[in-house]
Amino acid sequence: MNRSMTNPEWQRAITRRALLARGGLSLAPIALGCLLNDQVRSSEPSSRTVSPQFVPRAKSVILLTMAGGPSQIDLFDPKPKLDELDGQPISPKLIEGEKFALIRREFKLLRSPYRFAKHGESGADFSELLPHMANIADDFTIVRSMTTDSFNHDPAQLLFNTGSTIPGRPAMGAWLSYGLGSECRDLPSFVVMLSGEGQPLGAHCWSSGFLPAAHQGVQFRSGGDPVLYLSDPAWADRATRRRSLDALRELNQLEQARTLDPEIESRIAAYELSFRMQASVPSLMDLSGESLATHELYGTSEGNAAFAQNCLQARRMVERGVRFVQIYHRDWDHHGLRETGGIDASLPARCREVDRATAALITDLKQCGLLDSTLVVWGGEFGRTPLRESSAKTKYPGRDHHRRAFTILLAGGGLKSGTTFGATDELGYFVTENPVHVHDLHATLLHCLGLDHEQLTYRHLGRDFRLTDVRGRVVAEIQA
Amino acid sequence: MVWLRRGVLLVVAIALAGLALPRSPWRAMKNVRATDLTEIATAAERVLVQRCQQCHGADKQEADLRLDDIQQLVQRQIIIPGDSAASLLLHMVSGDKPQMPPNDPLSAKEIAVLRQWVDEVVPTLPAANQQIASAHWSFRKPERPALPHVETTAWARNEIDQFVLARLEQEELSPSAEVERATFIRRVSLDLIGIPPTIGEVDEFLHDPEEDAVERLVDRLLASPQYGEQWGRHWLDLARYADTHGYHRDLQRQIWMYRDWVISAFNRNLPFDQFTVEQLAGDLLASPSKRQLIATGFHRNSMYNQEGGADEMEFRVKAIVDRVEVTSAVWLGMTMQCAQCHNHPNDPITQREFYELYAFFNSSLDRGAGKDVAPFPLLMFSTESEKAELNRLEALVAERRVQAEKESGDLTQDEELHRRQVVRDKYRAGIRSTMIMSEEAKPQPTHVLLRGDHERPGPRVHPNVPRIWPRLPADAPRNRLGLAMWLVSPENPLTARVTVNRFWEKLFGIGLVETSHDFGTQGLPPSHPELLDCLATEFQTGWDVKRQLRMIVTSATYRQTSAVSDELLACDPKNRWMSRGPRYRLEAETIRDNALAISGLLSRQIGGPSVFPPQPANLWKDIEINYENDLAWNDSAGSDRYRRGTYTFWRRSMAYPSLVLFDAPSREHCTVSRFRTSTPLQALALLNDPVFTEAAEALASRLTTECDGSTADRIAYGLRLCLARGPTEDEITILVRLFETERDSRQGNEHNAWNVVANVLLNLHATISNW
Repeated sequence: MNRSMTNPEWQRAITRRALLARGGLSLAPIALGCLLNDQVRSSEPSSRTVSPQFVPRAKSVILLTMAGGPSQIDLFDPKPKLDELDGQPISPKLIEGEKFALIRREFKLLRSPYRFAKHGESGADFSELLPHMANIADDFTIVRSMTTDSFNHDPAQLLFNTGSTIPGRPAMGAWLSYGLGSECRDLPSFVVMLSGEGQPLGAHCWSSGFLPAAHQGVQFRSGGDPVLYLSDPAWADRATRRRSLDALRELNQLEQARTLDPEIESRIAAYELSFRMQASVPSLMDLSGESLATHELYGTSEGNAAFAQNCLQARRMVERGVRFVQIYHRDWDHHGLRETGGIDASLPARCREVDRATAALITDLKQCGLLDSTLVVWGGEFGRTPLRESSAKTKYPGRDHHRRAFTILLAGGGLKSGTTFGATDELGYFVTENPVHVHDLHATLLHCLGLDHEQLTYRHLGRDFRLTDVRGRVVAEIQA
Repeated sequence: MVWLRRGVLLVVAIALAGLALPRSPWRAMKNVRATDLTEIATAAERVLVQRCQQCHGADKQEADLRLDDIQQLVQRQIIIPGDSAASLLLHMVSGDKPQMPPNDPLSAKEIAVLRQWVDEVVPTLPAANQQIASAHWSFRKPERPALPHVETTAWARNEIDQFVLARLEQEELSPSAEVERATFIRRVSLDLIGIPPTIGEVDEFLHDPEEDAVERLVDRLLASPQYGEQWGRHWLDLARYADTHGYHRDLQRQIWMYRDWVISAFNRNLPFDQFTVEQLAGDLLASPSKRQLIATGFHRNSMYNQEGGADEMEFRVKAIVDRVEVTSAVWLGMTMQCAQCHNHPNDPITQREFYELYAFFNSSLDRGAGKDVAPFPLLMFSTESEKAELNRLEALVAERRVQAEKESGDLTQDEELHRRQVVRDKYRAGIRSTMIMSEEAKPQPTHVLLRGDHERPGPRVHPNVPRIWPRLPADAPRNRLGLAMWLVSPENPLTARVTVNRFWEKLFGIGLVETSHDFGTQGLPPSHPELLDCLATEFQTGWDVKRQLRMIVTSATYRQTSAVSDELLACDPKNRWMSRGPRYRLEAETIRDNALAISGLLSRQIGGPSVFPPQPANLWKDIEINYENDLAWNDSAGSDRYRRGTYTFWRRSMAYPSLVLFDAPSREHCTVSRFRTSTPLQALALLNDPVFTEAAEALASRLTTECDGSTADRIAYGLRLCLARGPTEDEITILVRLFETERDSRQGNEHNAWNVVANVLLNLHATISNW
């Protein structure tokens, strides 16, 4: 299928990509001209273009990251066999050579306490903990055969976000910012918002790694300045700031006339942009203009609504052209070590915090006509074991970290909706059908945005790096 | 499309065999008929790498073909040396309907390059890898070059200038004028000590009538304790020094004594060979001093994972791999990363050789993961009473252990034992200590790890250095000490070059080898090969860092003005030929230090535990877990708020935001060169970060208290504080107008108006740049 190659948006992406893909530290002078994200200038012409084989459906990504690793067995991947075998030891043969983060002595299976039902025309499985998401079951592409490399949080989160278990690589959002730039002049192309507590996160998950800092995820915060250092000091109001920037510009222009330093021009532009951001960010963050119906849809006024507010913000950001919005909701690490932490108490509470707003976001995007051009991803860094995590002293039902199989939900972005892809064995331990590694998810995600994961490279320390490292396969089966 | 018969068994050959010939400046491509074989080889390699090897290279071998393996190509008659017309390679890429590369034919120029390569270069290629490796410029030992002939005689001040001038003359360029003196003292002060000169220092220098005013100024700066802070800071990026363990919880560690050791080593002008040996192997020296042990913190700066259930072996391997990579990046200017999983696709380093290097580090005592608050080995600085208390706590643990063994036999489940251990560990972590290296008494054997996987050991290996370089001396110990001595031996072709190139990069904003992180076959060739070798051989004579820096900053090359003309900008946009002086944005910490110095707030205190200057509230809370041992940021009080950026507490997973915005690295890994970006978030930080607004307020009060002249006089004073040079009429006019408008818009409130003016002064592009 060879679609039009004259799509101007595509052309822009290609030229930019080809320009950047030649990469390396020789990019530094380009980065100097780099403004918030997209103002890349260079005297070097693009010498090669990469021929497109496909036209992107999606322009933006919203990544809903459930940090800690939600339990697929209690949410999306029902295992009736576990009801039968609850409390019995797993066959030692099945887990020969397997390592676990915390389980040490007893390897007993644990059933899910939650009822499952089939939903929508597609008959997708959802447990009773996610009624709102179940209501829009046909909008999801459910991948039940995800695998990852590490059963420790930090390496697994890094792999999920950056394609490597070692810190220092650019996050997905940074790669997209680098590869496609921004559609919006006065907002960052990669925004990060956090909610919840109890799961440590590192900014290395939204870092630009070895890419220029302009591609770094910018954290939008709910307390204080939404973006760091956004407010003027007490002695400068807006009129003063405008006059200061005018004076600053004139002084910088004098310097430029005297020295012809080409960097000054981008410095001046950066200050102008900062002034515009001081207006655009607060107006973006102000949700009072949204209708009552919208607020109700998301549940932004209920208790503990930080996630819901962030979801609504995400839609507003995508509308304004932000390329990549990542929302972390924390505390999905449902061990059985404490009363409030297990799948019996904490998991339902987390689900209540995200269920309605997740469904609302997808519904809202659909209503605005943005769902086809926005890829929504919902999931954590790994899944959870079908085994009970049991130390001698705890009686609370919990599950350990699991890298062999977990579930990710996707929506929009030109994917085949109402599909469940991949399968796990009767215990939910191993993937039995169509395995999708995190690298494959990344390849697929880039593909949705019109980027070939093998072509999007950056030269660093003498090597061409990719988001997918040396792996990755586009999962063509879930493309519409 | 299959264009070769399949089924030829491929031996993974030493990559790029035959293609790894010396490179020369790219301008050679202007003339494809160049007779210099190395230029043709470089050009051909470029075509093959860029246009062919994506499908026929190390990663992918469509049609079982690797175009980076010259031996195979000749063997399989894909190229006939000396006969391009008969070579299949040329048939595939040329003609009316070239078959390769698919849909994207080579240009006529590219084809011509390949033709000439097959005809003229391939026949001359040596077969053995050893010879190939030694043909790459940076793998040959540097020789002190003869001084080149130059036409202009009056300009050069030292050898550097001779080489620079010769190259300029070749390009038909001439050097720029000498920079004005006030700008020179600002430039050299910011470069050598990272702090701008005071107005008094500027005046003194301006009125120094002696011939050797510059030399004496430079000597004064090199003798200043701030010199070690500035140049030590550059080293700390390489050493990935930070105050936390990295990974999951990213909790605090004590290793700031290593940071202070680095600063002191630069100030003492510890010779670079000694500096190397003490950091890599201070513990292996005969009766090492405490100072030498502290130095070994260099490799304890790797990360340590405290997450529950982290696989000890997995993270030990990660830490050791990190040490191999850092060592090779810092001293050899090479990345070995690829060879962790397979033979290096570009440089002649095999996977086995990677693990032989790895073996040097695999005998260390420390672990990569665990629950230790203060992971062993440590150099403890306990007081007598601390020793006594620790002994008491140890005894309590031992007592309970005996009891638990009697009672249950299961030590891991004994809560009381666990509690006592926690108390002891917490107490120990509070004692002043620093992380150091130490050797295992009976180290585990090292194996190649297949695909880099710690669960798939391959053949056993022993410590050794890659074959492409000179052997370890026979009498050298096969341990870190031997490796360190080899790195600084006169035979080592890379260490001196790589190091002086980094000095150059810091002073000129760009290295003689632009890819300062890559001296391998994929890196760019030096702009001035003879100059680089002149500096390297000079450095090797005494490894004297101060002398080396002095030579560079007293050269006529460094003294040029950085102002540029349109013509010069067009023909030398990156200043590769050094036709003018350096000009670049200051690094993150220097932007901070500079603003604090200008405003008079800067604390000159050197060393000690890291400090917590103000950062936005709750930044860390967003990422913390809500445990009682969470790491909290409590703003420091008093002068600790105004310490140099080097002393800011460095948390890897969330480093100090205003430094990160200006491209400071996370220090999770070794950083060879920083970016210099320009973003609106930087503008917001400089305009609004309380650190910088406080500096503006302090500068405003300096202007009004230290100068009692007119508004224009005060503004001129402020401009001199920021820029050292005398201000122009236009500059004063603009700022007087701003001052008056602000004053009048606030019913005559001068106080605020001065804050606004000072804020602008600190935001000038010229203030945050070195020029």
